[in-house]
Amino acid sequence: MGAVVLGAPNRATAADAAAQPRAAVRHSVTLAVSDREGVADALVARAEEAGGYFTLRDDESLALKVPVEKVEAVEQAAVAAGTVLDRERTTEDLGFQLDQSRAQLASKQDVLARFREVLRQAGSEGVVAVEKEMMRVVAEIEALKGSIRLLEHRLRYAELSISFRFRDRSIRPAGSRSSFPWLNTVSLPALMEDFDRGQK
Amino acid sequence: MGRSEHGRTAWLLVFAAVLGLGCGSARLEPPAGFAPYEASGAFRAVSPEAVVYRVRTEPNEPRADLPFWKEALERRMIDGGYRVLAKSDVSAAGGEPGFLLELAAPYGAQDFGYLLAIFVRDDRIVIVESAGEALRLQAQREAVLAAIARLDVAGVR
Repeated sequence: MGAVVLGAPNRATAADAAAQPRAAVRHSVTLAVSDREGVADALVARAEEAGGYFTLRDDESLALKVPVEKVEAVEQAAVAAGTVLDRERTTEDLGFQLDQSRAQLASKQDVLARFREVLRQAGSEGVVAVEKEMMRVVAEIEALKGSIRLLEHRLRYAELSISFRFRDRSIRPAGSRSSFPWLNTVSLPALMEDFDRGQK
Repeated sequence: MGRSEHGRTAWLLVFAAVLGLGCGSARLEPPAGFAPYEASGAFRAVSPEAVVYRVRTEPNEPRADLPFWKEALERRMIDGGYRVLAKSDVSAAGGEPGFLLELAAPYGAQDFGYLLAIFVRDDRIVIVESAGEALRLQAQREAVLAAIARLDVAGVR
């Protein structure tokens, strides 16, 4: 694929562009496990084996970056390690953003080439002004290259987020009443409170 | 939950021994390994790991059939913030058709699993619920599903 090389024009071919994924992939799994530390160790090892790495690890969660083509396998390893409480998959289309950044980069590189021509022909009094402008364009080019590298990385590596407990701790059984009376009697807190009352 | 689960379990087992065995709903059986007891109408049972099991009925009002209540129940639970892990059609004793929702939700400091089955019988809806810390409920899942499959819906009062 057309990876950005510092200092070189970046003109990906149409074939390159067509072969590139255009959506960033994010999988998240909420998992109940009996040994968080052991499961986290195993999943980090599994991700590394697949060519990935971890970006965050604490007592309650693990964030992995895994090559897109391997994310299913690593997610399956996570699912097999515990009881799944929640699972979500999202994709974010980065294609337009990437195309736009590449087009801006090409345009800035053209501008820089024109400045070089101007610089060659500039008199001593104009050199400073042209160089100043060139430095500004170079800074913009470097920023665009960084942004393109980041987008390309997000497209190559899926994010796999593992939570060992629900992040959102709110159940909202009383938030809205159903117009069907018996449905209002069905809730986890009501069930557990019913058993707790049995103790009193 | 902020209380000793072991203490609660022990209490529930004693409670079950005192009140439950030989209770009125002779046709109701707890999941294997659960201690049954009955109080204030519903049939209740608890496992040594504090997984709870309850069978009760509610009026089928407005009168509707199982497909209607399947939809309404699932929507209600999703709106309530529960995660739906699985849903399936189930059968009780005699092939009585029912619906099973397997849910998860935070409860206190823990994450709980919540199994919910319904059977629609004329003017009553039979509701079977089982819940516990997620891993503990998972360990009892087969026993709970077996109890639901053995449930004599007509015998639930």
